[in-house]
Amino acid sequence: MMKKNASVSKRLSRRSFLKVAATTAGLMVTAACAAPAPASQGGEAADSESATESMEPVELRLAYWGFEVEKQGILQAAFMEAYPNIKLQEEITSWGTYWQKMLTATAAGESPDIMHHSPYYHVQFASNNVTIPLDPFIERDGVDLSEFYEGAITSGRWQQGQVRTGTGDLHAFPTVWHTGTMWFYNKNQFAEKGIPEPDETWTWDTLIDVGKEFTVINDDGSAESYGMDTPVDGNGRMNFWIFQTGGVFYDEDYTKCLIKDPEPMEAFQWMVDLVNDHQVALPPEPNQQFNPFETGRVAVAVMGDWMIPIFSRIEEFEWDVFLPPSHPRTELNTIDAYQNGISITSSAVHRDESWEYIKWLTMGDGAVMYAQTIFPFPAHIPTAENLIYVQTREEPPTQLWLLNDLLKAAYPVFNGPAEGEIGGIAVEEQQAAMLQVKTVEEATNDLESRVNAVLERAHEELLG
Amino acid sequence: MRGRFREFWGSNRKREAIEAYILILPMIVGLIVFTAGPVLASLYFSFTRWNLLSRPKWQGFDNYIELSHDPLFWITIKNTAFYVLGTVPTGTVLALLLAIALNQKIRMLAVFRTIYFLPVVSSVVAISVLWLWLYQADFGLVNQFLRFLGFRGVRWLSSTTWAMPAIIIMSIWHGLGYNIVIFIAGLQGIPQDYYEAATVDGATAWHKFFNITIPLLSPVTFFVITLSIINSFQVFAQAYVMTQGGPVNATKTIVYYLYQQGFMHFHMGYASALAYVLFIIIVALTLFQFWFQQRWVHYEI
Repeated sequence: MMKKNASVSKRLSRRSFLKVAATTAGLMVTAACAAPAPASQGGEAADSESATESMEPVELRLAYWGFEVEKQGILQAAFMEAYPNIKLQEEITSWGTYWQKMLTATAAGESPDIMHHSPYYHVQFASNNVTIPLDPFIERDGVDLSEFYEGAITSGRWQQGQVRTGTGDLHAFPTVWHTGTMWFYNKNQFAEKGIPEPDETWTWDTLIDVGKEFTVINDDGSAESYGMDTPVDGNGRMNFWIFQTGGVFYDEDYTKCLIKDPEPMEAFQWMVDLVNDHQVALPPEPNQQFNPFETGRVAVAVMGDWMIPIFSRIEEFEWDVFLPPSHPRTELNTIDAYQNGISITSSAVHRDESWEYIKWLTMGDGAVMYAQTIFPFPAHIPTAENLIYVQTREEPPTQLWLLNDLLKAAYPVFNGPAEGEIGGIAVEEQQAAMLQVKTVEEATNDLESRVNAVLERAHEELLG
Repeated sequence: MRGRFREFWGSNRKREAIEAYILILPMIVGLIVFTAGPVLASLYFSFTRWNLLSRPKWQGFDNYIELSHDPLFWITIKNTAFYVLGTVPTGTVLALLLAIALNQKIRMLAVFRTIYFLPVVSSVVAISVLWLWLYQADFGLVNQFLRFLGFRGVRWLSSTTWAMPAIIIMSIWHGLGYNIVIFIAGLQGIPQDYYEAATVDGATAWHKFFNITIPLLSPVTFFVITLSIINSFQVFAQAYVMTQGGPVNATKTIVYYLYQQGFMHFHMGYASALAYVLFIIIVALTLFQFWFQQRWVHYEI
């Protein structure tokens, strides 16, 4: 009797329970998995709900990747003090997970109103209507775009039917225009060896001659020091070497990788030779826990300009920056450069207020504050020239002003829709050649075919 | 029947049953929403092309077909298999030997056990950073020691030959403590009577080890090996922190590749397909082990 009752109780209660649980879970799963509604497009400057008009305080969600978080907080506080009707709600994520968060938030229909942007992702976000064109605001307020580095503006433009940035509507307003190719040198090491400090006369050949003076390999195979660090830019790429040979990495339409052209091949071979043939450059190391320049293991380093704030903490030796060594034939010392930008998302309700913040940050008082305290490479030329690239600079790098002209002539990079993936491929193939796992011929063949496959898929996804 | 039903609903049993279900409801709902839901969703996504921003586009088995032609996928399979073969047998044998040593009546036993277990409770990321320093080619402690012994140092993490063995060594060290604890529990479950009887019969220590300890420990060994294989196939953090899958893909494992495809390149469909292939591999191997254990696992003498 008891057994039967128990059996009934089990069956009935389980069924009821399962009904409730399944219904609840089903609803939650459905809600969680539902694809977001397509974002509305358009950047009309006047049709948004304007709190400025109503004077109702509005709250804006501002997303940025987390560097100098405390100083960023001070920056936002200064804005809110200047604009008491706008409250900023910060959403800070580390660079490593920022884009995961932005994409998943967008997929869930939870985009922030304003997001700091990187050229790695401009095309993806613009082509999926996540960011809105800022041109209507620019026209309405008569913003003079000639006050910004040209490359910084074109890097934020995108138009339908294109797989790269460069033309069309401005989706990402530039905050920063900077380079992964900043040349640093250790003044103490040069003084100790009695070698004149690097200057504008340096060419690629000088790198070999001077590099040999600084490279010391012990009998047991360990290295005391190298002339220079691994000869790739701060993003692990080789763009600047290619530009200096007079070549380019992609064709004009972004349909093909041109690494097998003579100029890029010369650049690739050169990089590999610096490590293996001339043996003046540090072989590639994974996850550089010990920055070779900061730890005094190399006399010269080519790294991103974002290392300047980090190197400013160096107390063991004096350092500065110098002009990139030029190519002996072309005499070019071109560098790569790229924009960091800021965008308004299509889900932003208070677009006018969002635009006010962008103006304040990129050309107003915020631009000065941002450059002084957080990231010292403003895309706004007056701010850059009056504040950063001044010849009276006393703290290292005292020669930072050299960067100004280079940035004006720099090649914009990372303009396509799959730059992260292509960057990874480039790094792999460079390392394969530098570590002698592949010959230069094999590595460049693989680089070409792999990049072309990515470009083909990107074209298919964007243009159908 | 109706009478019994009424009897039930009016009883304490009914109240207890409802209370029990209410208590486990959050867990069940959580499991369905946060585990079963994503698992099923990723099965669907594995048949689509989806970059998180646009709507998923159905493309049938294309992701799986592309996987079979993807050289990187086969490299990750090879690397993961190498990692599993490198960590599981060595880790299991070492853990067994150390468990036997730590099961003896020696001084400071608790201290030794703690030392071996410490890496298990430490963050694998922190440990990876520590080993990154140890493996540094020019001034890392490992190479300093090798040079002290008269060998040339090895470029551990920037060599395609040595990077994976470096990660295997670190992982064995990291996982050893957990397996030791399991083995010690198993050793302590073996009745002393068997050893005493064997001693009376004149058995040597080796005889006792091979004829009593190993057979009676086989269920525990089976548990350790099964779990170790499952865990090893999912290796990620070490490769992520120490080498980012490099140099030249030498340490790129299936899960690292999955992460790269899904969360760096945002090819969610392809990453989901990778996840299901990994799932199938692990399930197949686990089923094989359950079938094969009939031949070597002894649950009683």
